[in-house]
Amino acid sequence: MVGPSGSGKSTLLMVMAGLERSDSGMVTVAGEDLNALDEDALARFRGRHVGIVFQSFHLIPTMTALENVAVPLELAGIADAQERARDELVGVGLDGRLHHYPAELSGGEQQRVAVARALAPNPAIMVADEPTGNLDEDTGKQIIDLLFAGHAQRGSTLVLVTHDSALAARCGRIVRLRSGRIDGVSAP
Amino acid sequence: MSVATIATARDNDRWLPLRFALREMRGGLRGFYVFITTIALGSMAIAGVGSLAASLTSGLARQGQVILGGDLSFTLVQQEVTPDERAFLDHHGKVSSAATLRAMARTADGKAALVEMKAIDGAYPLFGQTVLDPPGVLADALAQRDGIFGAAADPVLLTRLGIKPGARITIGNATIEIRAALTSEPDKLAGGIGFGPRLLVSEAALRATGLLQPGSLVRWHYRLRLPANDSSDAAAKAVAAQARSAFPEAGWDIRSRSNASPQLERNVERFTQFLAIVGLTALLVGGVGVGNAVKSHLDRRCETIATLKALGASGRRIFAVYLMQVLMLAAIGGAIGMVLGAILPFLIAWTLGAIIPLPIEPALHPAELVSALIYGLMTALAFALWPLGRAHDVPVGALFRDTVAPQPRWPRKTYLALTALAVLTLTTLAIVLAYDRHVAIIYVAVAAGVFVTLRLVAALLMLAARHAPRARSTVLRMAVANIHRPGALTATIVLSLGLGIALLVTVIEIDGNLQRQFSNELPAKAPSFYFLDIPADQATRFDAFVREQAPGAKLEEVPMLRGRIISANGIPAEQIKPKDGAAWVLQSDRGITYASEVPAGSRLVEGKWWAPDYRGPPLLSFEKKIADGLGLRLGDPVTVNVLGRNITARIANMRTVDWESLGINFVMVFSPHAFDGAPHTHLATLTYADGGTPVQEGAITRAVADAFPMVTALRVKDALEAIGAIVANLVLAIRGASALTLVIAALVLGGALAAGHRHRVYDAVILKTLGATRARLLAAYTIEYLLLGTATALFGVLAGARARGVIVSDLMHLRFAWLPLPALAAALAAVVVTIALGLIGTFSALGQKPAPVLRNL
Repeated sequence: MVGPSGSGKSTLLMVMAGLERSDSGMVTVAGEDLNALDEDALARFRGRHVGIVFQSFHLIPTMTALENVAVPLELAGIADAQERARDELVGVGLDGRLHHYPAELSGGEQQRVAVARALAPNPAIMVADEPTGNLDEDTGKQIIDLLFAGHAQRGSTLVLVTHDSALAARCGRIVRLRSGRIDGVSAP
Repeated sequence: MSVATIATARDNDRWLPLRFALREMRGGLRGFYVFITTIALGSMAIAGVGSLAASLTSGLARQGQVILGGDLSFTLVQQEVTPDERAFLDHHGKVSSAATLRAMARTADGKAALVEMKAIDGAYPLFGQTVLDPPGVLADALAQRDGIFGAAADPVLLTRLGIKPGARITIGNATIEIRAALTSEPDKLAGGIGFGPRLLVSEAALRATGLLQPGSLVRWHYRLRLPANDSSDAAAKAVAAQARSAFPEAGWDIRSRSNASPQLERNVERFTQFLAIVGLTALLVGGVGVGNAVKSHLDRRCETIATLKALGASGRRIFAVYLMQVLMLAAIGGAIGMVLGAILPFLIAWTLGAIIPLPIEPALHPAELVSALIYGLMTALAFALWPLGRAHDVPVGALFRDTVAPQPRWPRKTYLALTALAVLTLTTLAIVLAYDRHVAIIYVAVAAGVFVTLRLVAALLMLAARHAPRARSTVLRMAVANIHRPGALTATIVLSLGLGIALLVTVIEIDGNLQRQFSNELPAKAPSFYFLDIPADQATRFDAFVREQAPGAKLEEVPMLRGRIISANGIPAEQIKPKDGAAWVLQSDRGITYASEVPAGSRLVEGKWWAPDYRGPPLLSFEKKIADGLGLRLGDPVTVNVLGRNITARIANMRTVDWESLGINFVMVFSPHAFDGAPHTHLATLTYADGGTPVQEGAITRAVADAFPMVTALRVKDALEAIGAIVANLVLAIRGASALTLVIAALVLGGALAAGHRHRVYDAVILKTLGATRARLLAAYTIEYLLLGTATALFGVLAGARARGVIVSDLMHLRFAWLPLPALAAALAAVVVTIALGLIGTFSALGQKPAPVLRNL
C-alpha cells in the first residue's frame, strides 16, 4: 500500500487486522466477517490469523525476546508456546539472543524479534507498517527478506505499507491510496 | 489438537494473567512505592488499633477479678448491708468490704485538699496486691497506734499538701497519720475518674472521722471471692441471680468479674472506633494514591497493553493481568501493614505499659489482622478498578501513530459496576465491623460527601481555567493552561490535598474544642464550688457562714439523695433498651432531689408542676430527653431505690435542663413529701460573679474545711482539670493517628506530582527549545500550584469544618466554636507544602538539557 501521509494507509491496515472497525461496509478476512465479531472474538481472530509488524517494533520491555515471541502463542492457549517461539527466533537468526531484553538488543535485532513474533502463530495475513522506517538500509533489507521468506514458506498474505518504491516493486500488487480512497490497483 | 493438548492449554490459560503480571513486574516496584506504602500504613493503622483494642479488652477480661476486687461485687449507696444480706454473702465465699467517699483532708498549717477516701477491712484485697512506699504490710500501715489511725496516700496528695509519710492530717473529726505512699492499688480502675487523690484507711478510722452521717455520699462495696473449687463464671452468675431473688429490695448494684468495668470497656470500644475511623481515613486517602499509581502505571504501559491487544489479548484479559498486579501489590502492602499493626500492642505495652493505667495484654489477634488486610485489599480494589477498567479499551490503533496517548474516558459498565461493588463492600465492612453503627454510617456519609465535593471542585476548577479570559502574561497563561489541559494533575492534587486539609482541619477543630471545653473556658455562670454532704441539720448555719465568707457570691442549696432506677413503666431497669444518650441514667445510682417549685436552670415543657402544698402519692418530674431515650411518657410509674427502700412515683411533668451551665441539675425531681423521713444531706453550689480568683477560692476552701469538717468542697476547676487530663491523653492518641493520615496525604500528593513529572520534563524541554527561560518556567509552575493549592485549601477547610461540625455537635454533643486561626494556618501550610512538593519535582525538569530528551521523544 502506497500513498501520501494521511491518505488512510494505516487506517486500512488496522481495519484489515481487526484493530479498528469500519464505519460502514463489510470487511471479510480469512473467511470471517470482522464486523460481526465482538471484541473478544476479534482479539482471538487477531491472535490466530493476523501477524503485525510495527515501524517502532513495540516489543514488551519487561519480557525477554523468547517471551515476547511466545506471547501470541500463549494467548492462543498453545501448550508448547515456548518451544515454538524458540524455533521462530532461531529461524530469524537470533538463537544467541533468546533471553535478552529488548533494551539489550539493537534496532535490527528488535525488529527480527517482532517479525518472529508476527510469524509465530502461522497467521493467514501478515501486516507490516513501514517495517524498515526506523532501520538502516542493510538491516532494513534483511528484515524485508525475512518477511518475504515467511510469506513464501507459509503461504500467508503479506500486506505492507511503504514509501519505498523499490520495496513496493517486490510485491504482487500495489494499492495506491489518496484522501481515504483507493486511487488505483496495479501490478508492479 | 489432541484432548490432552487442549486440557494443558486450558490449564495454561488459567495461569496466564498471573504469569504475564509477574513478567510485567520484573522491572521492579518503581512507581509503586506510594501504592505499597499507603496501603501498608493504612492497614497498619487499622490492624494496630484493632489489635491494641483487643489486647486491652482481653486484659480487662482476664484481670476482671483484680479490677473488680472479687469474683462478684455488690455496691450499695449510703447504706451498709443488712445482717441477712451479709450472712448470704459470707455463706457464698470470702467477703471483703470497702467504703468509698469524698472528704477534705486538712493539715495543721491550714492547707486543705479533696481526697477520694477508701476504708477497707482486714480481708482487702481479695485479689491483686497493694504496694506501699516504704514497703510494708497494709494492715500495719493502717492500724491504730497510740490512738492514731494510719493511712496510705497517693503521692499526689503528699505533694499537694506539701507533706511526707509520718505527717498527720485531719479528716472529719479524726486525726490520721500518713504512714506510706500508695504506689499501686489493685482495684483502682473500677473506681472510674477520681476527682482527688486516693487515701486508704481502715474501716475503724472511717467510723472515727464521723463522716458516716445518715445520707452522706458513701458507697459500700462488698467483694466476694468464691471458693476455689467452685469459682466458674456460671457459679458467679448463679450467686448473682440468687442474691437478686433473695433480696429484691436490697438496691445493690451487682457486677461480676466478666464485666468488671462495663463503662471502661465501653469507653475503650468507643475510643477504638474513633481511632479506627482515623485509620479508615488514612486508608481512604491512601486509596487516592492507589488510584493515582494505577492510573500512571497504566499510562506508562499503554504501549505494552496495545501491543498485547494487537497480538490477540482481549480487553478482559488485559484487565485480568493488571488486576492481578494490583492485587499482588495490595497484598504486599497489606501484609506489611499487618505485621506492623501486630507489633503495635507489644510496642505500646513495652514502651508505655508502665504509664498507661490500663491492663494491656499484648497478643496476636488474627481476626483483627485479617480484617485489616481485607480493608487494604478492598480499598485498593475500590480505587484501582476504575483505571483498570479503562485499560480494557486502550486503543491498539495508536501503535500505528506517533505516540500512544492515554485517552481519559469512562470505563465500561461492567467495571463501573465492579467499582460500585468494591465501594459498597468497603462501606458495608466499615459499618458492620463498627462498634457504633450510627457513628460509622455518619462517617461513611461524611467521607462520601467530602469525596464528591472535592471531585466537583476539581471539575469546576478545570472548567473555570478553561473559560478564564486569556491572560496577557505568557507565564500566567501557561499556569492556567496547565490546570485544565488533558492529563492535568488538577483532580489528583485536589483530592489528595483536599482530603489532607479536611482531616487536618477536622482534627485541629475537634482538638481545640475539646481542650476549650475542659480546660480554659468555663460557662459564664458556672459555679466555682460544689459542697457535698452538708448535714441537713447544719444546712442553715452553712448557708449563713458561706454568705458571710463570700459576700456577693451566689449560693444555691438543695436537698440531695442518691437513688437507683429499679424499674420504669413496669420494666425492670436491666431489661430496658435505652437510646444511646440515655443509657447512663440506668448505669448506677443518680443524685435525686425534691422540690416544691420548678428548679432554676430547668424549663417545664410537658405536664403540670405540683401544687406547693401537694401531699398526695409521690410524683416525679423527668428530664425530657432522657425520658424520651427511656421511652417514658407522662403518667408512667418509675420505681427508685433510695436507702434500701423502693419508692414508686408517677411522672407528672417533663423538664428540659441546661446541663452545660454546670449548675445543680437533676434528671429526676420528686414531689416534696416523697422521701419523708429519709435521712439526707444537702448539696450547694457557690458562684462568684466574676468567676472567682484563686485567692478567694483558697480562702473559702480552708474556711469551710475548718468550720464544717464533714462538708466536702469540690472545686469545679479541679474536676474539669481531672477530666481535661484524660481528654488530653485521648487527644494525643487522636493526633498520633491523624499525623499518620497526614503523612499518607503528603505521600499521595508527592506521588501524584511525581507521576506528572514525565509531562513536566516534556513541557519544559519543548518550552526551553522555544526560548522560555528557567525563571519563567518556575514562575508558571509556582502560579499553577498556588492557584490549585489555594482553591483546594479553601474547600478543604470548608469540608473539614463541616465534618467537624457533625462530629462535635452530633456525635460528641458538645457546643462548638469555630476556631478560624488554626484552620487558616492549616490551609496556609497546605498551600506551602503543595508549592514546595511541586517545585521539588519541577526543579529537576527545569535542569533537563533539551537535546537528549528531544532525541528520545
